[in-house]
Amino acid sequence: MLSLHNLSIKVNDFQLSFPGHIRIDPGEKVLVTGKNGAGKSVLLYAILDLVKNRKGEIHIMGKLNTGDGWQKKTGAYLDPYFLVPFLNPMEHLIYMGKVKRVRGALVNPLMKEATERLEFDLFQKKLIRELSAGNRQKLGIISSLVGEPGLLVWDEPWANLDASAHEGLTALMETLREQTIVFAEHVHASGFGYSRRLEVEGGLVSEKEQYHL
Amino acid sequence: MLKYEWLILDRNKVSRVYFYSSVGASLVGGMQVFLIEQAGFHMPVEIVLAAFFALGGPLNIYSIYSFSWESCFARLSLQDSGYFSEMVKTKLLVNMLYPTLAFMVSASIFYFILGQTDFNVLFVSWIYAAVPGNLMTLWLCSHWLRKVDWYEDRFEIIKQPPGHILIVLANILLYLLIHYLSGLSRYGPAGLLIVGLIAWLLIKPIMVEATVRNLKNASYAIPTQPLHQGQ
Repeated sequence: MLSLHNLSIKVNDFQLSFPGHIRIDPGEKVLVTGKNGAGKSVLLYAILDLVKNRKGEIHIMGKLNTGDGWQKKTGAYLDPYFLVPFLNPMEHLIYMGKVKRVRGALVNPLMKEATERLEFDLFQKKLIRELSAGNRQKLGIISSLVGEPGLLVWDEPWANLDASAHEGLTALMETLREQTIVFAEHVHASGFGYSRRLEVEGGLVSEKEQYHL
Repeated sequence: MLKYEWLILDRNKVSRVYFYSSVGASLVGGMQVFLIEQAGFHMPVEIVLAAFFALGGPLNIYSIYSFSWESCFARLSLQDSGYFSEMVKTKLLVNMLYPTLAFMVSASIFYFILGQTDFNVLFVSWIYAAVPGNLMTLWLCSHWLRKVDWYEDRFEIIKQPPGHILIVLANILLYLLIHYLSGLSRYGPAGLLIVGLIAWLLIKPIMVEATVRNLKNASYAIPTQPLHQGQ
């Protein structure tokens, strides 16, 4: 599903390296941890080919991430710019459907479940720029499920969520058995069982734990 | 995608102000052509430039600000070339529609209200704006992207980088060249139309590909950090 090989990422004076090879299989839940500013998000952006200065190889579904062919089956929400600020939630999802070239029904069963568990009103007329940070977070997660992706990449998905949505997201992730999820979070914040943990520390990414859930 | 191009213009103060003022500038430019013609002055260069600004001016302005996007499109598409290509083609279409409408309205006013029958200047302007100016402007603009934060919905005067000033100058030169060459041709407007169509078919795929490549290179999320953190 996802493999990283000898990564070296440079952002201004900051350098992040992953010397080695890792292969993440379908259905794995990978937690990326590290202190604030350690480079967790940089690693996630690099997986999505959104970092300019990078060496090494990242394959998603067998394809190099610098090319095309993997985007349709990958969903991500790393920051509010994964949403279009001047659209309302439904317009945004329709636009995402066009971007992902979804045929047939736009709102798939995963999105329905996410909408219910996160208690989000998809049909509200507010523009995304007018939504609260928590509601943007909910919409970002729902939006990343457009097109039933096999790989999900989320940065601190529990951030800004209220208590019931926090539980809802944990329950949602447990139901996403077929999806590989790579998410950055502080280890105590999620309360979600992961199959593998990558730690980012001192400019180095290393594998810390691996479980068979 | 056309609907979203309209929403970009309509729901964001900065693009709305620039777009509507460019339409206003177009009307003023068009009126200038009529007034000069009606007054019987023989100032071909001025007439030519007025026609250029009547039809080509909005093209420049729209093209420049239509790429004043912020990071969300690169993130939504995850750098998918197919998406960028579709977006560029949509912008080419919008940039073609606008001068076509302007041409039709101007020509109607020329003919029905002012009784003019010589549309050559307007026709050359239309061909220029719809085909070579359209392709060249989008391609050049993709070298100097301006990013506007649409979370902060406010009007701001966008300082033009030197590149954008050069784009306008390049457009004026290209337009004058086309106008000059059209005067040399013995086939008249029909010949120009055929050359324009051939250019559209042959050059468009190359220019779209080059524009997409530039957009992808300019659209990385890092090191360019978002202006608005939002959370």
